[in-house]
Order: sequence, then structure tokens, then C-alpha cells
Amino acid sequence: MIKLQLLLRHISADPGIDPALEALLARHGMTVTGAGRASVSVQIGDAEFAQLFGPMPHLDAGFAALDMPALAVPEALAGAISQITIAPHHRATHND
Amino acid sequence: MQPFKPSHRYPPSGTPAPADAVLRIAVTFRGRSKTGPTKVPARLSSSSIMSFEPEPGEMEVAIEALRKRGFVVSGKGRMTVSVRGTAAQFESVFGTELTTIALDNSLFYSAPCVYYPPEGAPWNPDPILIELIDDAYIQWPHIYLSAPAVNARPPEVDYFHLDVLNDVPAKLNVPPIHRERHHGEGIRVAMIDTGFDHSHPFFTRNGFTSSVVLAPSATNRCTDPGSHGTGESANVFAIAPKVTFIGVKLGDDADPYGGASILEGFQEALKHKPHVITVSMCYDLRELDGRTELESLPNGLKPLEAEIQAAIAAGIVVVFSAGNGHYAFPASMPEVLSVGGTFIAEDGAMRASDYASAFTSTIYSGRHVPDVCGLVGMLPYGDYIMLPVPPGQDIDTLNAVHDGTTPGDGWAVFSGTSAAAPQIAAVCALLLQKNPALTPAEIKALLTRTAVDVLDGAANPATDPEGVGIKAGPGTDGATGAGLVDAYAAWLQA
Repeated sequence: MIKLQLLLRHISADPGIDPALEALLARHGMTVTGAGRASVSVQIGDAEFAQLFGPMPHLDAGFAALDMPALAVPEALAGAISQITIAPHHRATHND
Repeated sequence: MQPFKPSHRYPPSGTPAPADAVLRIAVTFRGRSKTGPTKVPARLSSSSIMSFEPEPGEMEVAIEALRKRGFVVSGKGRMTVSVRGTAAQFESVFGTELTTIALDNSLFYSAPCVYYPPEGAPWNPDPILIELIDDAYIQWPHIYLSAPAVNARPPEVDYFHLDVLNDVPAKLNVPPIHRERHHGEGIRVAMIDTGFDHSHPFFTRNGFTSSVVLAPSATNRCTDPGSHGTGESANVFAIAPKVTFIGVKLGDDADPYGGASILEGFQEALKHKPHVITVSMCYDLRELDGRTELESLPNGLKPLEAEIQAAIAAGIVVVFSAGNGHYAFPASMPEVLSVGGTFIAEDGAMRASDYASAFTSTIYSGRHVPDVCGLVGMLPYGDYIMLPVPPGQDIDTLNAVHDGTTPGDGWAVFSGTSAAAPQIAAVCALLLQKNPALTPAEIKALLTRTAVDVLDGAANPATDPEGVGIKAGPGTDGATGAGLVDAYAAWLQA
């Protein structure tokens, strides 16, 4: 499963997923795992990813490198979603 | 420059044993036999073992010989004597050389290493002594078969450091707020981190309560193998002990490199309508040259940027650590309260922590990191605050190599801007308790205009393109922003 981050075209007043958008994403093989006011996090299977976006890029434990470009937004989602990226990896700030 | 000297350092594996390392040694005897019990090529029974019982006076003569050679008797049984001596004594008396052998730190050994003759080492024991005994065996550290009982009280280490409950609030001028009976009651603070093991007696014995929720892909609300969230969350409780603490766990116990993204954690935190969100994590936006920050925000971080901006617009105070030599995003976002580091020495002298980041962002023109500072140690390790950690897990075992604590004791001395962010997030909670109408911008303004100016020192060289470290100085400066937060001064104006 791959973690995707969807940037919403319109910010909502309250955090949470719009049911209509959730259903639309589900029809594209995406399962919503989190939603805020400006973004939605989803998971998508490898096969569904390939169908929507083409070959899978190299990932590190499922996370993307910071310089990985955004994915092309499917036309059916473009009305609600302005950008789709694969989640990048973070680091803790106590020591390295 | 290190502000402390650790009480004991274990040398690397394969290096000679320290001359003054104390060994536990078991001495065996031949008794009526010509050879000792450990050299019999057969398993001994409880009756046959008695043939190796020392003859009358044999043990006493041997003990006297060992004492003359500097060993101290620590125990005596029917068949064996235990003595203690230094590695130097052992090497001299037994004509051998000892090397350091590191032990598996995933097991609960009573010590992290053992000093032992390596394969092929010489063995030429004192000829007089070896006539009196069968042999002498250095005892290996034992393994605890369950996590050692963790003490609510931290261990002693013989260098200057901060006690999280007493020193951290004191140095941020929090006690006067507590005397006004403000402890963060009614304020929800969400902390996003590796996990939160609040079964540690530090939390339970002090009456600190929390709820832990799982971000997507995170597992097990009760554990924190990464240890980071458990330890750093103590900073919140030290300053605002009565906040409603919501821990958002990102970690997947089965996969240390997996778990949730910060964005997923942030989205989860929003569900619980926090007043303050604090995150001691970052993305290091460093150019390929290694010296400078990126010039534009990667696409992959724009959703998080948007989500943070929306949260702040909705009135949530969002606190991020400034990084430890990282060009840390989201700390670099202008709307975020970015927290850097100030070090206070034993004599009270204050200076910029050279462990903490400070930089002027190229992504956000004119944005300087940090806004204000909390308490952070110095290079190389930032070992500064004694914090509770899950016993035997990552930080407990790894930090023990240099912080003077024992692996498995459930305590470690560390900090980083990971400590500073929750400290100041908790101060924000105290301010909001007094005046719930404060906006994030008003809180940032309060903290910056009341901060204590830090005049000396420099920040981490890794966030200075010149490689030197941005210097502190009078007024708002590159290294420490407005300076060290003065919680009571801000609270008076809230």
C-alpha cells in the first residue's frame, strides 16, 4: 500500500472528509486514512496506483524522497484535488 | 565544548579493557582432585562435585594470597570464592590481556560490555597463586528475564544536567504560574510523535494522565519502541501538568521505518480539537551541496503546509522544533511557532545551544528560525535533561553509551529541540488557560516580547552556510530569536 497526500482545491471550515469526495476517491481505489481542512491522506494498492499514475517510483519503506515530483491528478478528481504526492519521510529532532 | 564529563564510559568493542575497570571473578579449587571441576571432561553430579571441595585451610590460604595481590573478597561459598579486582590487577596476576566485548543491547544485560581475554591471549598466572587455586574466571554480566523494575526516581549521574520536573519549569520561570494555581487545566495539547508509553512510573506516580490515539498505520497505543515521544512528552507535563494531553502515535511497532506520516498525524490530531499541537519532528530541506536550504518547498510538503496554515487560521497554536542542525520544515513556516535552543550552565550562564538549528529561510523570504527558545543541551549529543523512556528500547539503550545511565533503567539524558518544542507548547497551554481568546499570532508576540535575551554562544554550524554557527547577540539574534521564553513574564501579559 502506498500513502498519498491530496491537496484540496478548497479549504473547508472544519477538518474531516466530505462523504461525496470519499466515495469518489474510493471509486479510484483510494481509501481515506485522514482528512483535515486542506488535505486528505489516502492509501492505494500497488495495482491501482499503476493504473492511475503509471509505474511505481522508488520508495523507501513506502515513503517518497523529498524531491519526488507530484503525480498527475486524474481528470475526475481535478475538481476537488489540486495536487497529489506520495508521503515523504520525516525525522525526529532529539539526535541523529 | 562539552558541559559535562560522563561518570563512566564504556570503550568500543575490541579495545583494551580500562585499567581501572572492576571485574567480578570466581575462583575454583581442586580439593582432593588433581584437576579442577571446570576442567573435567564430563558432567558432574551433586555428589561428584564434592570431590573438588577445598581441603581444610586450602580456601583460606588462597584467599590470603589473593588479598596480597590486591584482590578483595566479596563472597565465599563451599566450593568457590568470589573476589573483585581491577582489569590491571587481573592482567598482571594472570599474565594475560583483556579486551572489551560489547554485548547485545537488545537483551537486558546488567552491563553493556564485558572485559575478557580474547582468543589467543596469553595466560601465565602467578606460579604461587596457581598452586593454591584451580582457576579464576571473570564473570559475565547476567541477563534480566523481564524488564528491570523501573524507578520513578531517575538514576544518579555525576555531571551537571537538568531534572525535568524541577529544573525545566524553574529555568523557564514557570513556578509563579503554578503558585497561581494554573497548571493547564482545560487546555488540550496534542503531541505527535513516535508513541507514548505512559505506564512508566514517572507518569503514573506523578499523576500525569493522557490519551493516546493512533495515526493511520500506527500500532499499539501503549508502547513506544522509538522512545522519543515518551521522553519528550515529560517536558509537557513538567510545565503544564494538568493539560488534557492527547498523544498521537505515528509509530508502527512492527516496522521502525514505517508508520504514519506527519500529515496523517496532524489530521488525526485535528479530530480531537486541540488548542495546541506540538511536533518534535521535521523534514530537513537541505540542498545537495549540504550547506544551504532548498530554495522552494517540495511538492510533497505542500499538503502539510496547507494543513498547518488552515489549523493556525482556525486558532490552533502549532509548535515545531527548529531542528538540530536541520533546515527544519515546518519550523520554517512563518505562521508556526518555531522553538530553538538555549543552554543554561550549572553557574547559571546562558548561551545559545550549538546543538539547535538557527537559519534564515530561503523558502520563506525573511523568515528567521527560531522565534524563541526552550532548554537544549550542547554538542555532541545534547545530553542535558534526565527524561523517562521505555526501558530497554531505543533511546534507553543507545544513549547509555554516553549519558551515564544504565541500559534498561528506563531513564536517559537527552534533549534536542525535540525537548524545547513541548516545553514551549506547554507554556502556550498556560497562557491559553489564562486567556482562551489569545490567537496564535498573539501568543507568538507575547512570547517574543517577554523572552530573556541570550547574548552568548552560537547555534549549530550545520545550519550556517559558512559552517561556523550563527551567533547570539543583543536583541533578537540569529541564534536564539527573541531568546529564552520567560513563562511568567508572558503569563502576566496574557
